[in-house]
Amino acid sequence: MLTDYHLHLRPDDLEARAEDHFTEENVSRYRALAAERGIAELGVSEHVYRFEQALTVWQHPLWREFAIDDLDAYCEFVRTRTDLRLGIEADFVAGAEDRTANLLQERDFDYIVGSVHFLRELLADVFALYVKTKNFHWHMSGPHFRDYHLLLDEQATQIFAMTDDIAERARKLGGTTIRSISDNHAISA
Amino acid sequence: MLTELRGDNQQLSRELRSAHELRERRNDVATASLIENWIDETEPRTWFLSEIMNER
Repeated sequence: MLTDYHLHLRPDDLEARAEDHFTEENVSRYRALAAERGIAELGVSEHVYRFEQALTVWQHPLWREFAIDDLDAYCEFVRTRTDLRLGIEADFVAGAEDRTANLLQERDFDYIVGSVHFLRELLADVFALYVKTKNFHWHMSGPHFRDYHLLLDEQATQIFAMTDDIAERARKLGGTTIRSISDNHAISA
Repeated sequence: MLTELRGDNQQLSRELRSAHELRERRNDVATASLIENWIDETEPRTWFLSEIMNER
């Protein structure tokens, strides 16, 4: 039997409202397509950070922006109005393992998709390295000043180009990127 | 300063390697190959920093 347990009923943008996508009509669209492709069992696994309860796990600025819906309303919709398996896609947040476990255990999910949305964390780290390299480039001193100064500038330029590629890649994969300096600090800290 | 930068670049290489492993496991060839380029850039940075530290 073919299964697909990694479905999102709602697209990953801020304008997509729960009430427009958590509907029986939308589910039947997925059902029809699954039937066409010979998939018998479907499960839905919305991103945990779209629900306000996720803020008990992590108060990240991007999460605060995205966390607008009620997790229990989602669970109830899936259980009572669909024949889908009830899942959730939960991010691994370092240091918040216990809070994540509490949030998930309070509900009777059939399964959990664990995610590491690593590109965004990587972007924050690379950006921090860029700032540091550039900073050291200006503060170098001593007999080799010129060589070091130039070397670090070259390295900074290379690292900066990398941040651009990473951000672009993360967007293509459907993730979110850093939007402000305070975000960057929160992610890389 | 240089020691710190070298350490950070080494840490970045490790992160990139684990990201690469993850993308390969998910058959995301495009991202995996981008990450390979970033590793190729990061390792020479570490190497240059090591070399100039030895000179001092």
